[in-house]
Amino acid sequence: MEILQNILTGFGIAVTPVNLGLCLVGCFVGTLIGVLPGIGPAATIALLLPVTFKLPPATAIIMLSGIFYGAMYGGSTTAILVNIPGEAASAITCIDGYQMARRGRAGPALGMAAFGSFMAGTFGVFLLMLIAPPVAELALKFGPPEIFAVMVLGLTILSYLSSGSLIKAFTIAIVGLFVGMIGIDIAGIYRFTFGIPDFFDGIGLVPVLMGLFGVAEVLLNLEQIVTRQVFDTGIKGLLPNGEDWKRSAMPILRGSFIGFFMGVIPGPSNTISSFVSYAMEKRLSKTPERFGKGAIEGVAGPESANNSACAGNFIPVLTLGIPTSAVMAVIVGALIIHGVTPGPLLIKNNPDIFWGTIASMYLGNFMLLILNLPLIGIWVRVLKVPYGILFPLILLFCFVGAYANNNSLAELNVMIFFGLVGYLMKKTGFEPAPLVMAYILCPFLEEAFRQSLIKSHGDFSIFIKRPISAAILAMAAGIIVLNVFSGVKKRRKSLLEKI
Amino acid sequence: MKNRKQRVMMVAVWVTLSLLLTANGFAQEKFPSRPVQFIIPWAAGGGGTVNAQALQSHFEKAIGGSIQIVNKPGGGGTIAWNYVANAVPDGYTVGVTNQSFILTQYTTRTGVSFKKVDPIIMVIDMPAALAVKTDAPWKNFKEYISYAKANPGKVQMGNSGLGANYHVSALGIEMVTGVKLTHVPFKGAGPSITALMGGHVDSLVAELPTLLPYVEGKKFRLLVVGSPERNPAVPDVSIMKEEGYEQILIGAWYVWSVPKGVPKERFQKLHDAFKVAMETPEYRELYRKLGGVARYMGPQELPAFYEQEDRKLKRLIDYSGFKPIE
Repeated sequence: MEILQNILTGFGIAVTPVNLGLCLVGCFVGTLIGVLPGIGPAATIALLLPVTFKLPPATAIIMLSGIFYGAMYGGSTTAILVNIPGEAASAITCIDGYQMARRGRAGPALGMAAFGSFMAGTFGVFLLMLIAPPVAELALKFGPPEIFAVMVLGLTILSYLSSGSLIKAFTIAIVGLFVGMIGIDIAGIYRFTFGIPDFFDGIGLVPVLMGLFGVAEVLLNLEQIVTRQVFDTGIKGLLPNGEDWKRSAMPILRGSFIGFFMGVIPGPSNTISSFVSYAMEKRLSKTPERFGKGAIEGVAGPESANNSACAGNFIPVLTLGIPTSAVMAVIVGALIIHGVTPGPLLIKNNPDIFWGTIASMYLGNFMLLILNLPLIGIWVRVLKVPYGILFPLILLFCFVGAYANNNSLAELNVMIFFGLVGYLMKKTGFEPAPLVMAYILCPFLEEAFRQSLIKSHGDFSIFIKRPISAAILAMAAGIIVLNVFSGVKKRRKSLLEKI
Repeated sequence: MKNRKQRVMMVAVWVTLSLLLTANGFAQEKFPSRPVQFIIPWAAGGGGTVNAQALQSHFEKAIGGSIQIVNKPGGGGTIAWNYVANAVPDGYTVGVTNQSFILTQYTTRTGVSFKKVDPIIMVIDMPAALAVKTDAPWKNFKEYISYAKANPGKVQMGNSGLGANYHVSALGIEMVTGVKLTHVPFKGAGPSITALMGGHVDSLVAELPTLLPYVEGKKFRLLVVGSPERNPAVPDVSIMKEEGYEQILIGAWYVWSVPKGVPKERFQKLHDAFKVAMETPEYRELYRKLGGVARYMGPQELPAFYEQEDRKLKRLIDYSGFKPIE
């Protein structure tokens, strides 16, 4: 009952004309920067922070968080249309979303991404409202050994991210782990930095993604410029049909759960949760061979997961004052500058901010759906732009985005390099998703591993002595065993068929 | 000599330019006539950006121009500091430095000598403090030290990266008290706070503003504060001197600096605008709440301050034997 009263107060704050208007502004800006690759929500929120100085803190946070979850809606747009993830969390959407677009089904893909995001976003906020404090306490139980176990679990799902050869997937994942090791490690040792200061903190995620997906795609399409068969198939329907809904309902539900709970765990949880959701849908699907060729489940699941993760992200910040991602660090900065102390007392001292923000998220998610559905008609028309104009524009956006990310020329070069790498990978049958996944997980995996061993003074039993990490590691082992068995079964079957 | 020649050339160029640009040929070139860039060596959202934004509006009013906050993260801050030290000294590039600016001279290959910049003004000083969980067995610094002495390597100390400021500060505790701790590195202050809250480390050294919300929320207890006198935000927490040890903890301070050779009147203009901004009640109130002191130091005292911090950190680095490894 107390929650009901609180959330009503929250709605009272959120529906004032100013707050409603600025929530819309935030969502709109978020969608926009979500669509533009390279320019992420963290930088945008920091940039717009001074604009909010004259506003009351609750209003400021309402607008700034709108940018964050708005970006998750927009991130899928370029992933589906031109194979460039607008945000890292949409990288996995490229696989099936782009394939859908190539088959003339960009509309349903975009539509399902928007509906999925809306439902998962609302679901996430609902859970945030109900169980934020206990979940935050649970998240604190995740020390280095537990985080290590989660990362191992993440690596075991690699096999689901590829539709081709498993050996190639693991080979390229090892390359990803290597790229993830570049930079200063936690002991202060420089690894493969070649003395370039821009590499000290690791190779930037944004240029790698834009290179592997965007630039590589442009290069690849240059070869086909004469035939131009791709999008001439016409655009069939702007919205998902009944069949699409039937396929997507469960992935959206599962994605919502995965996203929310992974969102609470420190690290790049939006991205990881989308990968996990994709792998899960592929594993559970009766027709896994459709994945990679335009399966709508591969769009619905991950896009739901990354939106639900946004709500999960807010839990450690609003209940404990702990930022678990770059965006949340900026939100904490915003709270501080508005004279609000983020920390365990925030809900008690500033209930207007906590409940007002939560209420605004319900409204914001709804606004985003209304905002995004009419845009689909416009977006699919982008596909009719002649290649001669579209590709230089894509390259231009990639270049501007890669530079603007950190005002660094070195990152621009990184993007070009990974563009070439991505092109060669495509030519030789390697897929980018396992590389990206391994590369994102690697720093967290290594850090947690080493921290655990420092804590235990070199004793490996720390990973199985602690119940949570032992349980997660057992799950990871289970997945591997399951995989091996199904692999053996398949081989036996194909052998039998041969006989 | 060459430097002076360059400077003369520069002035000549500026004068010519301003003569060309202004309709009135005799008007002096107005400073600032374009946005002044505030270079922040860390990603958006960190303390440096917060400080720049807290100063921004009053600074702009005072100097009669606008500023542009530019985040240039990476290389432990050294990318930005190299950028500032090598920028054209026209007053349009101003960078924030902190204790890591001094520290990275020793811990990285790309660190910048503090002698390559001219410090303008210190705008904030935030002391370091040692925190434990509220349910920890140690009620004060003495109990903590005597336990750590009796159990070498048993007490786990979190930090925000090996070779980073608070690792070095924790080594300072080892140096002056003779205890041996186990140092667990995290990437940044946020994760190390999470680890202390979850009980994954036993203690933590960090700056007071970072720790204060958790002290007020009854999650952490402070054992000692590294300031010259008791801090008004936590008057009941003892300082190192009272515990009978040298004040070795390195806190966080922000000093805004420019590349060497900025024309005097522009340097003065920047200084005055900063001073106006840091003396506003809003600014003071913000940092009072955070546990920092809006402590002013000007261009006369600051070179000596840089020297003093340099000596202190050099000693700790020598004690730890920390070297940049490539």
